[in-house]
Amino acid sequence: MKQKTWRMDVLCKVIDNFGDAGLAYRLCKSFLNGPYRVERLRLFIDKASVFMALQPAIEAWSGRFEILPWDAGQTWTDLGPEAPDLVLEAFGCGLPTAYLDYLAGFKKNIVIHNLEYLSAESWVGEFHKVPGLSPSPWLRRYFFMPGFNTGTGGLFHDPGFMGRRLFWESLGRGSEFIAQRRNLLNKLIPDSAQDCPINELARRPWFTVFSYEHPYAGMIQALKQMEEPPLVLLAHGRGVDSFLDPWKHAGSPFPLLPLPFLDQETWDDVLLASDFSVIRGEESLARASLLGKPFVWHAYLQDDKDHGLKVDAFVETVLSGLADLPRNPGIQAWAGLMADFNDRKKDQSQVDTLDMAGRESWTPLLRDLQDLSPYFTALSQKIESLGDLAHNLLTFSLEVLYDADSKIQSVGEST
Amino acid sequence: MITPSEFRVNTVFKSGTDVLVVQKLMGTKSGRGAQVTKIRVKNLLTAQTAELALNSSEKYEPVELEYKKMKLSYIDGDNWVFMDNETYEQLEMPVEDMGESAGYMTPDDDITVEITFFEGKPIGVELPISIVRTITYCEPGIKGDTSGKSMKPAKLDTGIEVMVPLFCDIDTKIKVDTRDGSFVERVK
Repeated sequence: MKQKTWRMDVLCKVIDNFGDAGLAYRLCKSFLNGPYRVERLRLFIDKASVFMALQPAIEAWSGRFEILPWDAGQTWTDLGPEAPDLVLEAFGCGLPTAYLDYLAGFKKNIVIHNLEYLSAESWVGEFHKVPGLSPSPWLRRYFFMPGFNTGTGGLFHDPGFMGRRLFWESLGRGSEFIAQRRNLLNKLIPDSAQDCPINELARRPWFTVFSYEHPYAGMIQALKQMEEPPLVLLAHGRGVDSFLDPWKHAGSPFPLLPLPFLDQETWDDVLLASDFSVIRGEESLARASLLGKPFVWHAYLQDDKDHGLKVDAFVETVLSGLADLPRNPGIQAWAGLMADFNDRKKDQSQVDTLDMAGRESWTPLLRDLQDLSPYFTALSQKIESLGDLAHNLLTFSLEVLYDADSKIQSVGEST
Repeated sequence: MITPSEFRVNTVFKSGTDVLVVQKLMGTKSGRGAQVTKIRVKNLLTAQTAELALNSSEKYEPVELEYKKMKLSYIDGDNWVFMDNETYEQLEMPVEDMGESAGYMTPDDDITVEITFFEGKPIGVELPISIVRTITYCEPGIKGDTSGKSMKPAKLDTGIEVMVPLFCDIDTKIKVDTRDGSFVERVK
C-alpha cells in the first residue's frame, strides 16, 4: 500500500512563553523526524523568536520545513499554489478568515484539527474527534484532544525523546549513569565554575525545579533535612527567584545549579537524568508523564481556580494506574501535596500565599519517594499504550479524507 | 456576530451556506483561557442533525428570526399543536423540532411559550427559564441530607428524567432550569 505524502500547515500563538512554542517544536519533530512522508510543514507562529530560541535542529529539515511569521498585518495571500492536506490549529488559536478563504479556494478536501490543550479531565474524551464548523464543505474540521486516557489522542512520543529515554534507562544507576551525568554537568555548569566538585554532584540525588512563582521555603527546609540532600537544578524562567531567595536565606543548605536557557533536547536529558522533578505547564507535563519517574506538576494559573480541576483530574489519573493496590504513604503524600502546591488564585496576597505554602507537606513525600515510582511507571506505560499522538492524528486524518472519497494510503508505522 | 458562549437553545446562525439551529447545549468546558462548547444542531435547509464542538473564539452570523407567544393546546401523535390565545391561530410542530422543550410541558399547563420562526416556518420553542414540575418516581428521600450536593435521578410528570438532591421524594414539586435541566429548588 502506497504511503501517503503530507503537506501540513501548523498555526500557533504563543501565550505561556516557551510552553506553546515548545509544544509546536515537539509537534514538528514528531512529524518531520517520524516515519511519515511529510513533504512540507509550514509553521505560522506569532513569536518566531521564541521558537528559534529552542535551537531546534531545523537544518535536518531543510527543504521540508518553513517557519513563517503570523502578525496582525498578515494578508494570508501569496502562500503558494499547493494546498496543504492537513492543518493543525494549535490550542484553539483561531484560524483567520482570510486563511480559511485561501484554503477553501483550492476546492480540495482539507482536514483541519483543533489540537487542544492537554488535560486529564474526563470531558476531554467527549470532545475528541468531534467535528467543528467551517465556512466551506471542502474544509473538514475536527477537535483532536491530547490526553492520558483511552478515547483521547494520546501524547507525542517523538522518536528522539523515546530513544534518549531508552538510553538513560539502559545505564542503570552505576558508573556509566554517573559518567553521563558528569557529561551533562560539564555542559550545564558555566566555565567560571568548572572547579566545583562535579563527581560529587553527579552522585547526589537530582531534583529539577521548573515552576511558576511559588513560595519554596517549606520545600527547601524539607530538602535540607533529607539524609542525602540533593543537587537542585533550577530551570531558567519565572520561578527562579522564588526558589533562589529562600535558598539563600536558609544558608544555601544544599548544592543548587541555576540552569541557563536550554534547547529542548538538553532539557529532556536533564529530566531523564533527574530522580524527581517539579515541572510547570502542559508541555513539560506531557514530557514528564513519559519519564516513568515521580514529579509534581505546577499547573498554569486560571481564573476561579479552574486549574484545580485539571490538577485533581491528573492526580486521579495517576492514582487509577494502580487502583487495585492499597495507596502507600508516599503516593498519598504526593496527592495531598499536588493539591496544596496548586492551591493558589490570581491576585492573592503575599500573606495568603505564604499561608497556603505552609500547608505543603514535603517531608512525608521525600521520605517515601520510592513509593511513587510504580505509579509513574504505570502512567508512562499507559500513555505509551495509547499510541503516538502524531500517528493517531494522521490515521484519523486519513479516515476523514477517505470518507471524502480520497484514495486510501497508508500512514506509516507507528513508533 | 455571536460567539458560542452566547448560544442558547433555539439560537439560529449561519455557517458558510448552512443555517443551523441549536437544539441542545451539551456542555462548555474550560481549556486554558478559551472555552470549548459542544452542541447539537439541526440544519434548517437539509434537516440533518449533528453534534459539533466549537471554540469560544469562533464567531458566527446570527439569523433574523420572528417570535410569537402561544400556548400548548394539545398533542396529536408526534405533532404538538400550539394556539395563539388572541387570534386562535393554531400551528403544528413536530416534536423532533422542539428539542429538549418537549420534556418540560404538557397541554394541561398554563404556560405561555415563545415559538421561534425562520422564514415563516416554526423551528423551535422557547420556554420560561424555569418551570415547576412534580416528581413521579425516584428512590426514597434521605432525611437530613439537605446539602443538595449528592444527586439522584428522578422522573418528572412529563416523563423526562433529571438529577435531584437526595432529600427529594415522589410527589415533591421542584423548579427546573429549562436551559439545561438542572434542579433549582424545591417548591412548597
